[in-house]
Amino acid sequence: MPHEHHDHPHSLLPPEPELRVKALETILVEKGLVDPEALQLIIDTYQHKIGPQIGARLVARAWADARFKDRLLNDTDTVLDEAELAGRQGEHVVVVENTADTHNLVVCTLCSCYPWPLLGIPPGWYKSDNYRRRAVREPRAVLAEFGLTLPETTRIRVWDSTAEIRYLVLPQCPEQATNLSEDELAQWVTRDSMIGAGLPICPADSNMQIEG
Amino acid sequence: MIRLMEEDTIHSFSAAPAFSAVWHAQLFALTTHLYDQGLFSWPQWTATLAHHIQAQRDDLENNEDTEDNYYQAWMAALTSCLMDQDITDFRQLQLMQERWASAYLSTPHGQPVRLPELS
Repeated sequence: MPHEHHDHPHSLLPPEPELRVKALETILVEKGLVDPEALQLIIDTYQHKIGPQIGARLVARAWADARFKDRLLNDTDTVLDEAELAGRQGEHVVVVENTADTHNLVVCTLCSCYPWPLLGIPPGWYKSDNYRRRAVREPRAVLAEFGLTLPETTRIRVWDSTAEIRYLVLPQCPEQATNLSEDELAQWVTRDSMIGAGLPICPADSNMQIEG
Repeated sequence: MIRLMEEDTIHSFSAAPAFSAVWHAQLFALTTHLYDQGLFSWPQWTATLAHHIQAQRDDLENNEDTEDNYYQAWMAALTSCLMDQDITDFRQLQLMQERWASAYLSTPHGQPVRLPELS
């Protein structure tokens, strides 16, 4: 029987999976294996601090500074170590650069490996079976569904992430954005462009999309 | 279409929440915290997760391609990691879940829900 909101004698029962996670957490806390404060800290960090804005800073800096770009592409782990952005799970990050004739796309075909410290938690579509199955097999069609139709002459390289290796796409700097400051450049970088599922967007255009 | 799976703005970093349900966030935090404590290696974890994601794809009764189902597979993976190490079992989990359910059902609406002491 459906409950009406206004005459609840008791608290609303959460959905089954939420109760299951509570049960897991309680058992682990009682056994001294997890610390509830540490859990809250992890959630806060991923909700408020770690996200694609971090990757966008790296991309903007690479666009503005050729020497940094060279290091980011060729000595990635050192650059990330210095910036305290190295992965918590001991993984290596490989930065793949889009060029005039090559477009890179990142997927994790088996689960959802992703460069968390640079992009945060992956979007729902990245974790979907649909994307995982099709990105390798028909990348051009998948990109078209993201609204990105590439010329037939553009080569598409698909990178399959693993527990050990995660990928970040370095998009091409749009022509209209050259000569901007690093801060301004960062505004052009989208999350999807760092996965390869999109291109950088003029901030004015993206604001219109959000408002619309 | 892929993008239609979620409300997803293309650019704004702040618009899309990292987790779309509280329990997704809690599962993620539990898993990374247990990894930090050395309970399993990361390749061990991703292999287990991949196994359970595939098992869910093969379950024709419940293989809808949703984020909830993805995290259900994640929950099955974490539970199996814990059971492999004899940290918990189905019976203990089920009992604890029932205790939480009855705590909700016996707490007046609007008050914080706490697990009652075992009598």
